[in-house]
Amino acid sequence: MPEGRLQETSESEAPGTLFLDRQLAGLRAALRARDALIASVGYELRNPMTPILGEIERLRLFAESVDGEGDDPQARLLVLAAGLGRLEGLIEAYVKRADLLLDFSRISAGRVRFHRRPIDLARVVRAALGRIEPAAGRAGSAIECALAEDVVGRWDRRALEQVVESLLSNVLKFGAGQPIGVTLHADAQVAVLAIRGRGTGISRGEEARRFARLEAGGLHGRPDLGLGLFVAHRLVGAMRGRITVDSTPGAGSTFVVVLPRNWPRIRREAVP
Amino acid sequence: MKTILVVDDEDGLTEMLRAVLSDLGYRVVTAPNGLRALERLGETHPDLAIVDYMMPVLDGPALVRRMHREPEFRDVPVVVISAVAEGAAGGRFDGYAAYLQKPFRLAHLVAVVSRLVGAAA
Repeated sequence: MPEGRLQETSESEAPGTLFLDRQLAGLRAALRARDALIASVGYELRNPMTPILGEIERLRLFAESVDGEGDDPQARLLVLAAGLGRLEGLIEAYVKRADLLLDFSRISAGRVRFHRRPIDLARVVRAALGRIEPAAGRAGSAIECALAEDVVGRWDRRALEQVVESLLSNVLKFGAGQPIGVTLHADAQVAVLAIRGRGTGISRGEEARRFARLEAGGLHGRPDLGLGLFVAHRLVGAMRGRITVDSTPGAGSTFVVVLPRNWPRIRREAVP
Repeated sequence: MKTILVVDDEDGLTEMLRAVLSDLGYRVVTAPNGLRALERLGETHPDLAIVDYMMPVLDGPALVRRMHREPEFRDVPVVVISAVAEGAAGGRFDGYAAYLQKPFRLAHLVAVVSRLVGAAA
């Protein structure tokens, strides 16, 4: 039984001290769960603010340093434009992180809405690779990919983007400096996406934890980890697909996503 | 030239610190986790390390413990940066020269760096 859920009474279990103690323990666990989640949300929102504020501070200092004499106006504008471009990228990344938190909340409440339409998964994967490429390059992780063309299915674009980016981000985070392998192929029924990182790898127990619902203890004092994988797992499940991870400590992890190309039409998708 | 090692899994942050500190004349090397940082330490022998608390693979406290075991890195001053308050996370570190809670002001970081290692050149 999940922590924090009130237990039902049974005829054989008369109300008494033991029963009340159990109820109290459940409520305390629920409060710990809430506090841990709030802490992790705070961390997720606070952490990326540092480079955003830093860029603003840099631009302000630059503007204050311009004395109008001997400065090339065109060069000044180029510096400002470059800074604003970096700021734009950082804020877009921040919004994505906020979206992830919202997805987490909607999934937990069973209120995810999908817009199913023909989508080319190969294009979604290529776009995600393009977005992660600069960070992968700086981390020293080469990207090796073999993608089939025109892998079209009826899916939700945003859900696909969230899934692909969460998995890529995970293998980059845990395998920084090591190559990242991405393959995509399909038959008439399903598309199969495999994302391989040659990083530290994780144990079977850790695999299960990462794909489990992030209740209080699920974060285990590491609020920066796990949300993306949880959301990816649930979104793939909602699209009637499955996601597995094959991992060996010290050798890396391979995430495999299998998605049916013709997701059956149901008015409101039940999130598993 | 003074060398600063920046260790953080937020790529946007390491790149911004690289730009800011390089503009001031420091040589900056970066690492996305503690394990890569250990490699960088051996390659670059930094004068200062700016270290995030929570990172995958090897986190900040584990990195600092490993640094303190090595005579050649024991005296490298460490500036901890974290979204977690010092009261909650500081105790997990063997020791550090300064602790900045994210988001911090760049001016504050630059003042701390300059106090600990002096001017860049």
